[in-house]
Formats: sequence, C-alpha cells, structure tokens
Amino acid sequence: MPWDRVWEHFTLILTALGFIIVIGIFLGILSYLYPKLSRPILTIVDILQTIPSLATLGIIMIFMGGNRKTVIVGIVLYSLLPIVRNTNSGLSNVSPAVKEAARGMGMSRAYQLFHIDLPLAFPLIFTGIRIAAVTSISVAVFGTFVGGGGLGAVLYQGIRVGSMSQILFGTAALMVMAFVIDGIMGLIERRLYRRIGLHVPE
Amino acid sequence: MTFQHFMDTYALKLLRAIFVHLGYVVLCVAIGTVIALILAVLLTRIPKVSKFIMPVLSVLQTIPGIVFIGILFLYTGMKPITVIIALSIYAVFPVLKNAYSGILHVDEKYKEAARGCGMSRWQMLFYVELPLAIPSVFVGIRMTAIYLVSWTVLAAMIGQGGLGEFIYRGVGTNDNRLILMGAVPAALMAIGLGALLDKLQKKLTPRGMRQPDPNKQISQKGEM
Amino acid sequence: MKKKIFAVWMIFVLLCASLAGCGSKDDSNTLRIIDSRISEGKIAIRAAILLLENRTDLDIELKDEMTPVNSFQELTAGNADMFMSYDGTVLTTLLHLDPSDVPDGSTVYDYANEQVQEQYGCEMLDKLGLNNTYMMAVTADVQEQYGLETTSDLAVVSSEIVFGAEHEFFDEEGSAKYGPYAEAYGLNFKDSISVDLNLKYSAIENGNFQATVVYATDGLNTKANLKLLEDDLHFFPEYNGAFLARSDAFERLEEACPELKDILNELGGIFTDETMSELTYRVDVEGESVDDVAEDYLKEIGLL
Repeated sequence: MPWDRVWEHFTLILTALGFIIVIGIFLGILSYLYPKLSRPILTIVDILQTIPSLATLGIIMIFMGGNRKTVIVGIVLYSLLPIVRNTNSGLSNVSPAVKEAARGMGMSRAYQLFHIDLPLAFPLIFTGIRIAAVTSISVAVFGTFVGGGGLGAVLYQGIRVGSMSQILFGTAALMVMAFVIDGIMGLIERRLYRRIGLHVPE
Repeated sequence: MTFQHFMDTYALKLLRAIFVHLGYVVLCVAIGTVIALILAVLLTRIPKVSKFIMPVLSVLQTIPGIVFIGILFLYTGMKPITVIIALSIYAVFPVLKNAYSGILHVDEKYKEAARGCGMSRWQMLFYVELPLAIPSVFVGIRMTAIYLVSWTVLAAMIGQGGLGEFIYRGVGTNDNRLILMGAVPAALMAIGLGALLDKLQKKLTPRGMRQPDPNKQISQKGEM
Repeated sequence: MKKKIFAVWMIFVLLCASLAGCGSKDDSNTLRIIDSRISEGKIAIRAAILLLENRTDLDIELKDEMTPVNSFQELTAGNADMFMSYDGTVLTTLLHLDPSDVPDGSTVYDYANEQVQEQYGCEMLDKLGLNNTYMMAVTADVQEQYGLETTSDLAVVSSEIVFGAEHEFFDEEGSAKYGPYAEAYGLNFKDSISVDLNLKYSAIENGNFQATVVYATDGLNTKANLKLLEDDLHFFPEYNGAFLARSDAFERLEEACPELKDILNELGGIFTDETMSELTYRVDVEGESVDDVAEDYLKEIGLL
C-alpha cells in the first residue's frame, strides 16, 4: 500500500497550513488595525474561496508549473478565509473595557496588540485554523491534477484501473486524517475556550 | 483568441454550461436543505445519540467527489441523476450541522413560554424552534450553495456538462482561457447566490432577531 | 513575547526555505528526471534509471509526475533535465505544430526533433520502439456484431453507437481532436460523452459507451477486452516514445558521465507496442511495481 502517498499528503497540508496561519493572521491583524482595508481584504479572501479549487490550481499551474509548490499555493489561497475572518472578529470582539484598561495603563498599540488583544482572540483564531486544516485535506486531493502527488494520485490511479483496494485505502486514509486532525484540534480548542472562560461555539 | 472566435466556438456552449451548472446547484441545494432540515429536527429530538452521529456524518463529508461519483455512476449510469444524488448528499451536511445547532440552541425561555401558551410539540417546532433557528439555517444554506458551485464542477467528470467541462478541458490542455471561462462565471455565481441568500435571510428572519450587521460572521465548526 | 514573534518569523523563513530548497542538489552530478503520469512512461523511466545506476555514478532525482505541457515547462525553465515523451506530442502539444507542417521527405520524429532543438535547445533521444498513438477502440461485442476492422467500417454504423473519451480529446483547438477526427471519417455517433480520463475504462466496462479512443499500448485495453480499429486514413500522427532532454544537461554532466547519452540511447528500440502493452498490463492490472517490471524486462533483453 502506498504509505508514502499518505505522508506526502500530510506534509503537503502541513506546509500549506504553516503559510496559511502566518499569512492569515497577518491579514487578519491588518484588516483589524486598518478598518479601511478590512472590507477589501475580507472580500478578496471570500472570492478566492468561491473559485472552484480545480480551477485555482489549474491557473496557478500555468504560472508556476505543475509541482508541489503549486498545490501548496492553491491550498493557501483556498483556505485563508476562516483564519482571516476569525482573526478579525476575534480582535474586534475583545471587550472595549479591556482595551480601555490597557490603554489606561499606558500600553503602546503594538504592545497591547501582542499582549492583550491577540491572546484573547486566540481561541477564535484557532477555530479558524481548525477549519482551514480540514478544508486543506480535501483540496489537496486535486493536487494530483497538477503533479502534486498526495492521496489524490492513489485515488485517481485506483479509479483508472478499477482497483477497489486502492480506492478504499485512499479514501480511508483521507477520512482518518481528517478525523484525527479535527479531533485533536477540537480538544485543544475546547481547552483554549475554557481557559478564557468562554463556551465552545457549536 | 479573437472575440469572433470566442463567439463562434464557445459562447453558446458557455451559456448552456452556466445554466446547467446553476440548475444543478439550485436543485441540489434545495434537495439537500429539505433532507437536512428533516434530519436536523429528528436528531435534535435525540441529542444524546446525535452527539455521536454528527462526527460520523462529518467524516463522510471528506469522501472525495471523484470516489463518490466514480463509484456511484457504475450503478446509476452517466446521467444527470448521478450528479444530483451525489451533490445533494454533499449539500446535506453543512445545512444539517447549522440547523441542528440552531434548533438545539433555541433559548429555553422561549420554549418555556411556548409550552406555557399550551402549544403542542408540532406547533412549538413550527412556530418557535424553526423560525428562531432560521439565521443559523441560512448560514448553512449559504455555505452549501457556495461550496456546491465548486463541487458541481465534478458533473463534468461523467460528461454531464456544467462549467466543469471548461475547467477540466483547460487543465488538461493547459489552456488558461478555458479555465477562466469556467472559473469566472462559477465565482460570480457563488457570489451572486451568497448575496441573494443574504437578502432572503433578512426577509425570513423573525423581526425581533434581525441583526444590524449580518456580515460580521464568525467562521465556526460547521464550515467545511 | 518578542521571542514568540521571533519564533513565528523563524517558522515563516524556514517554510520559505523548505520550499525554495527543494531543487538545490549538487547540479554537476545529478540527472533530474520528471516522472511520467502513465505506466508506460514510468516503466521506460525506471529502465533508464536502472541502467544508469548500473553503469554510472550519477545521482538521479526523480521528480513528481505532471502533465506533458508542465513537464516541458519545467524542462525549458531549467528545473529538470529529461522526461519521457512522444514525437507526436512534441510536435502537436509542445510545439503547437500540425502533422501537415512536416515537410515531405521528413518524418514527425525528425521534424519535431529539429524544431524543438532550434526553438528550445532540447532534443529527443533515440526512439524507444513503441508507437503509442491514439486508436479507435470498441467493445468486443460491437466489433463482432458489426464485423469491424477499420475506423472507416465504424463510420458506417456510428449512428448506433455511443462514443466517449477524455475531456482533452474534445478540445476545440488542435488537430488530433474529436472535431476534425469525426469529420475526416464521417463519424456521426448517437451520442458523444466527455469524461474524466480516469473514468474512461470503468465507464466502457460498465457499458456507458461502446467506442472510445485509447493509447495503443495501454494494458487496460486488454483488461476491458477492447478491440483496436485500424486508423486506415492515418489521421493520428505517430507517437513514437522517446526521452526528451535538455541538450545542455549532457554538457553539464559531461564531467560526471561523458557517455550519458550513449547509455540512454541503448534503450532505443527495446520496446514494441506488444511488449509495452504486456508490461503495462502487469503494472496496471496485476498490480506489480513499475520497478520490478522494468528490471525484469531489462534482464530479459540482456541489458542488465
């Protein structure tokens, strides 16, 4: 059984997730700090998600060639929305009283952002990361169209030659991956919310 | 590609593809929503069992379309019905998840009041629980509609048309123009449907619950 | 807190580095081959790798499979040295030329080789011996029922048959495609369905259509019990399999392996359509690994 494809798939989404988190939180902070930018940023990441992922990958492929990088960029573009949106909402939802108090203590804006606002918004940001992680798993399946390997390659080969065992292996691997990642992140999420005394959003 | 060449070769096909695509989306969102609402009502009656059913359903959602359609068509043929079955099933989950939590989280005080008014369980469901869950249900429908525009690309896998035909062909022959011919109308369709559903939601939400700014959404677990 | 921010940046930088670092191996001793998407190409590539590992000290980097056009882009961009292609593909798909552009007296292989050399500094190595052209294929039932031998025979009865093929075949641009093909033979199918390449064989086995175009050397033709019909009008150009390589790759590796090209050319002519479809059958249907199949075959013909 092609275990290397499972690993390939996993590293694919892991790498992508790294970029999504950094870029997503950055854009989220930007849209929070500069309300003028907030609408354009949110609209753009929203639109990115409405383009069918196969098309996104196909277009990137023409510029970047067909390889893992293309798939990673595709996943990043496709999965930014939940993190950007939740970073923005998380930061905006920090209670005005807390912000007032921080300002009263003479904190600079940057200091306040990193020491008060972001830690308080983090649980919500984490929810966004969790959604992005699960989405990436399924987007990465299309990666095989543009030469990115991963479990998509197993599935398509299995379907081509009519090999039920390959199809089942690929599908089961995807489901287990989604289940485990979602489960673990769900547990962490619950603890994060509890720590700041919030209910986990259902 | 000259404009003339585009008009001669693709314009009619593209128009047709857009309609076919939209048809699939609307039909399957409708079917999916009906099934989801029925399931949500049933599942909210047994919250203890549902706690275990919901995660299982959410994992089923990760079965890739290629596998689902690639196996389904062996039984149902290369016909529109295969696409409709597959897409409707994919459409169920986001609505179900949101409707389920929406109904479950209707504030106990409203239910109490309803019971106090002497409402039967059915009346309570239709006059209290479902209306109060509408905003949440609509978040689900909106999500489903937008995702379904993407998923309908898979119809082309078994020759059932839609914008996917352009996208697949474009990816296969490395033709950006073809990909864009498929992708741009799809994106516009998704945005349009989203806006339309937002309007509809405003109309359908009970007056007391209308929020000043529905755009301030938060991505929650239900989003896939 | 500063530490945390620093850590985040470090992660970002590392991620970037990991992406960029993918291709930075010792260039003067590494031959970078792009894998093929289809079993036949994989077998040919494995054969080349086995032979090189056996005869030289070159490092070989096998890159992920991708479409021919992408492979060619990677090749011309200098990110790879070689991949398995076909003279017909080079001519039509990569150079955007037409078989009718080939001057009289020249062959598709020679003309495509000349052009790709001139325009892109790439060259095809010796033909591997297989001609993996497109061919019309019908189910055994249909072939028997109508007594079909050639594609022209099929044209006569085509109105009673459903045709299906991958999306790419229905492209409006290009010459070796459905439109011109149907016109040349006067094909008038009851219906024509454009499907995902990967679903083609299960669809035809499932009876969703009865005729399709296939690659002549595909092992799945045997599995699905398809009968190939002769291309009696010679509509499809030949698709002689050959490695397409950057010419400067041989210069770069001159020091490490001066006889590289000669070794690769030893693979010239070692396959035929029949042997190749047997080999792909072993891989695609019987599930053997491409490495084993390639190794067996090289031993069988005495190259290893």
